[in-house]
Amino acid sequence: MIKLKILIPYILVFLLLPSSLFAQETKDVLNLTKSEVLKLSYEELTEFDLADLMQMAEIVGMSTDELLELAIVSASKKEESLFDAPLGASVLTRDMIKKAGATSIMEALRLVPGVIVREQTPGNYDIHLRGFDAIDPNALINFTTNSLTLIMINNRIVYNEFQGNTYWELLQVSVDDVERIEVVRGPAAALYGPNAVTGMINVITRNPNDKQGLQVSSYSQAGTPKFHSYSAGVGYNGDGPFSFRMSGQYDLRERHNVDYYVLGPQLTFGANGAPVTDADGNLVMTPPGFVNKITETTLNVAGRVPLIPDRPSTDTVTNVNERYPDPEKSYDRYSYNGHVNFHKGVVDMNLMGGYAAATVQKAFAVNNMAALSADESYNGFGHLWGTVNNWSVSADFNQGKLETLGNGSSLRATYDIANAEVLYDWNIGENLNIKPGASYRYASFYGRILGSEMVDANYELVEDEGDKVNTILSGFVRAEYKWNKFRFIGALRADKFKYPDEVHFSPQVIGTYKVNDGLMFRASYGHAVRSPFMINLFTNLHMKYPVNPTPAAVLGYLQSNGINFDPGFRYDMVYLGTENQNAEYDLLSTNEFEVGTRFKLNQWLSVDAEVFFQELNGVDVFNKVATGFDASGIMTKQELVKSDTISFITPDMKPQQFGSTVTFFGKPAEKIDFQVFATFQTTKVKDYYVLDENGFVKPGETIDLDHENTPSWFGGFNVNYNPISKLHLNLNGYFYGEQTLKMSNGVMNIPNETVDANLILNGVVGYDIFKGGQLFINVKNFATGEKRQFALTDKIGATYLVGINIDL
Amino acid sequence: MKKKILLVVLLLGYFIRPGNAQNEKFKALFIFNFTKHIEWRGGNPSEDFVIAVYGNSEVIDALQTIAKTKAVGNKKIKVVKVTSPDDLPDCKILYLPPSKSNRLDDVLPHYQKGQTLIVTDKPGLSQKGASINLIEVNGKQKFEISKSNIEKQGLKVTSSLLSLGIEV
Repeated sequence: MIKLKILIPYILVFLLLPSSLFAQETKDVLNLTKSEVLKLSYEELTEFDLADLMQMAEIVGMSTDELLELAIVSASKKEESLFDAPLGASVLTRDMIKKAGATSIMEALRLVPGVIVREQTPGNYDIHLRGFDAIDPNALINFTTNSLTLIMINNRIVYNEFQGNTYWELLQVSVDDVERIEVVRGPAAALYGPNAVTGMINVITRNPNDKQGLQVSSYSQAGTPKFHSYSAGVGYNGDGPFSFRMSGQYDLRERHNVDYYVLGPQLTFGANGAPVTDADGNLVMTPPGFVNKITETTLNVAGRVPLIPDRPSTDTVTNVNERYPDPEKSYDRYSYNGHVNFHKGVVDMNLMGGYAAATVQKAFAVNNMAALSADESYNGFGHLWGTVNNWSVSADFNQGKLETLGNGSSLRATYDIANAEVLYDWNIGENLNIKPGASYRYASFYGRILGSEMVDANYELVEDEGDKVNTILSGFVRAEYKWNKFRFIGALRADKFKYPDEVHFSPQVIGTYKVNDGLMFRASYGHAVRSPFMINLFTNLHMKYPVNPTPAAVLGYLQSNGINFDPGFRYDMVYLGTENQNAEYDLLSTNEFEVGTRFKLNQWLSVDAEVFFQELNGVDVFNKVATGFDASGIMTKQELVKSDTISFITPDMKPQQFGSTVTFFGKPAEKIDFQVFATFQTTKVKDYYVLDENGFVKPGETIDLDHENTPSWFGGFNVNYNPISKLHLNLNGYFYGEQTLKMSNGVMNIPNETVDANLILNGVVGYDIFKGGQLFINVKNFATGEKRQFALTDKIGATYLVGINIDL
Repeated sequence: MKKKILLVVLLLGYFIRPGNAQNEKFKALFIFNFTKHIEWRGGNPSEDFVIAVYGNSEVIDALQTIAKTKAVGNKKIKVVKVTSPDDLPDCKILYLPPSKSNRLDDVLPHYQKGQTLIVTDKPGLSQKGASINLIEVNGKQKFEISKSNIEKQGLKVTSSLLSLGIEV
């Protein structure tokens, strides 16, 4: 091995060689190399005629850094190049998504650095920005879902405040509608308001005014295992001020393996098909795990529902056919939208409306029986937005229904949400820009789990408390000052919530230094608060346990799970209403520090790198807060002796994350471009709470935990190659490290589930059959066989598709 | 270890040194070169040759570099940055970078028959009234040129420029 110190003098000499040595003497353009062209001065270049300049531009390769030159709006609420964006950010265009054969907006996010995307069942994805998923190993499975990221379509908030997750299947737009997807990593609450804790994802749709004349598009594919995805759009932009576009999409995907992870213990069946009993006649129970056929018996025992023998089937049901009406189908949805643009002079206004309905099976709701739930939901929206001179306005209304099938009214909610925002873009001189603004959000939910309704022993409605409403009134200002090569940005937002009754401030400070067109540095501090969610605000469970009877199956369950509920077993929960709402609920917030750089390493390679540290505060935990004997209440048909009240509390734990994301953009030859990115990070939970023997949080006693459900490394790559102009080849991949989901709590006790490291490889071969029309073959996940990507969910195998992409 | 870091820094410094934005550099060179093929009639001989750029663009820096050593005929080149539709100046060339393409509708009425060459940088804008539209075709920098749009602006264009561009 050659010693470095020997090499250094040679490198120094090489670096210090006068550039004039490389100067080009000849001006025979065709014979020039790329480096020779680059050595030419402006004075020399202006002497060439246009034909020669075009030749030289081709030699240099005009697109070397085009990915870093993509326009992005979300990082500063104004259009700028990605290279100049002051925060960690990425842009994905429709063209990039289609070339990579991504079958949905969710899957397309695998092409974005810093985003963790794991497929739970075909078509349904868990999506986190940098992670922090299931940070509390004492939590329920629904808390594995991401509630820390602000998801928007054209700046319209689309995450759901019921529990803070995003119902991705209910996005009313498809890949074919996308103009670009902008992702900002790190807190962005100062600009966008609550919930941009780990970042924000903003889907910008096509504007019918962007293209003249008739617009026709489709992005459709079908294949095996059963997979159908069809979308089509049509629009028109004539000479007048109005333009319009409408589109629709239908999706149907079936599971590659029809098995379920049963959360509770299951009966053990003998060869004769009868349940196995031990010497004492007790049923022998099999621990929680995967079953390849879910039956009513399996669910009954696992779900413990038969303990209320007279519960009417209209409420929580034991009928497996009602809980899982179509076990094979994982993703069945349709959506449509329409968009009208008015553009005249300084007025640019948009009106968009849409609707989506979906039935999916995914790991989200707590149905207490199996990790997967079948969810049936729909929503619709209307959105008006635009600019008049320097004013920007936006107003939207959203209405929908969420339901986890088979759980009756307990996991059902309907909602109405409205938003309004106004912002002024104020330039003071050349270098100072100030953007003040204000917004108002109204969210109204109706659901039994929120205490909207109370029922009697026969599950008849006895009290209707109606909608649970929360509002947020916000004011914000962003100031940016440019001084030489520096850019200083300060932003502050104040959010006044109805619940909790407080004003929360989210500040952000950013500085950038652009050394030259090929090198920039940035540093930022940001604070962001998570939205108050309906479940956190309004849900308190009152759980009751009977002394008798205690069936053998229940005893078996208790033994298998080590549950210390004494002496009986929970058989019902009552949702407490507003009189007991968690009005003092502490909001989760983050503090994040980040430094980053972007540089053009050479003529064909650019780099975007960032290092970040973030700490969460106010993480909520769903835990026992009171216990006692309670024979009163609505369940009077059995003897009640013991009750627990479970609610959201915020022990003082501090999840922390330290990491780095690096992205390489390259165009080594005219026909090849690529992007490679990876994130390396450690996630810990500092000051994690400890429970005492009765299940209460022990005051003043904490431990530090390594958090294992957020992968410590993940990333991807995307390569495009056009050997001839009509032939397009793409290879893209996504990878992540091992992760372990821990879910051990009073409601369910599940063995730790580890998901192995994985590499998902996809390939596309496309051929242009006419200008703007392409046939393609799309092979998904073809390399590593069937693997589980998310704990307790489906093994995902390869999918083979053929499709058509039209963009006229 | 320190030596390794030093080596990396030195290599990085070498790679970074060119500090290029080749796209913008060549776009500026194209714009300058267009002046050799377009005829602006009349005007005050003592006036500067004004090239306006709408919004932020690295093309401004490149044009300013060219303006230091070059002139159009005997006119000094003056590069002006425009920040709003109210500031649109009298100019010989107006360049709309991709990020300001949606401003074309505001710009065109202002320069009706005003002898201003409107240069845009986004597919489809020739059809919306741009004189010359810079586009990328298979990774190569090309330009669309509309003789009728140029003539609408009261300008004359050489046949050689028409032959180099993609006429629309």
